[in-house]
Amino acid sequence: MSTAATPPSKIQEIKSLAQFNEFIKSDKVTVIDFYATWCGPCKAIEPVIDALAERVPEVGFGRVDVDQAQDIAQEYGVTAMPTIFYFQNGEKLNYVVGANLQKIVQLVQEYSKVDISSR
Amino acid sequence: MSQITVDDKFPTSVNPKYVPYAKANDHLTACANPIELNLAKEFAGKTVVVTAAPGAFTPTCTEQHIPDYLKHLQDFKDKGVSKIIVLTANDPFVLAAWGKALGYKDEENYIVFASDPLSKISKSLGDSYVEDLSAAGFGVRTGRYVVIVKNGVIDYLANEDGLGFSEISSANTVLERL
Repeated sequence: MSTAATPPSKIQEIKSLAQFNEFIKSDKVTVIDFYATWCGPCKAIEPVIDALAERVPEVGFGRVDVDQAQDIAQEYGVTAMPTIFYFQNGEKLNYVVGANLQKIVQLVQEYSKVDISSR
Repeated sequence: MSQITVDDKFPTSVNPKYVPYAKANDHLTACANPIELNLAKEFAGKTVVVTAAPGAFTPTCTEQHIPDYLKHLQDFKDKGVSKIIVLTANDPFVLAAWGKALGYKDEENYIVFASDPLSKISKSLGDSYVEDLSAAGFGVRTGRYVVIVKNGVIDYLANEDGLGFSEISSANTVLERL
């Protein structure tokens, strides 16, 4: 059986608070997608986040399954999914609650200073 | 099982889950995430009113009990109550919808609609604090009761001991005791 292999996602699956804190410490801008496997709006934005991760390597992309990593979700007060957080050097820059694609992409552009339309 | 009484600590070993009201949840661009309400933290150094009802959207609870509390939110605030916790045995998603249906849409989340998992919290207060509604197909539900908790300790406790709603659990009665 041959199938076209899906290239591994450039998005880091984050499973523990320790791993999370390590990931956001970076001086690179990091973007974290808090999602749930049963959440429709989260699935809707998945392709866009995947594309961003593919085209904007200057930014580190991570994702957290709130059911698997409740401690991280609790720590960051995630009350709705998706919630996208933006970090740099361990500091929270901003966040978006809900599948607001326009805002999500705009903030990636703003913080990375990359012209996404050129990628 | 011994009944809890005034001057006992309100049990905090089981935390109810709830979905805090947020505008994003209203727009269906986000899925609500039930989170634990940390009772010990909510109670510490504060006055909290906990009231339980047999079921969200059931007639008495929806038409009389909770609307009565919603009408008096400012009065509760004026008396120094830091939070009102409404408990039912329903799941957090039903409770979140009920809160909105009752008209509470404030991101302050001064009143929260939280799920007493399997009525465990109510059961830990005593057998008369739960109602077995299995015959009606509802399972074990919480009874209708109200508790004033001051710094984690029960200051006032009133149980309807049945499903009805009367002066016993009315907002005015609670306000008088505060």
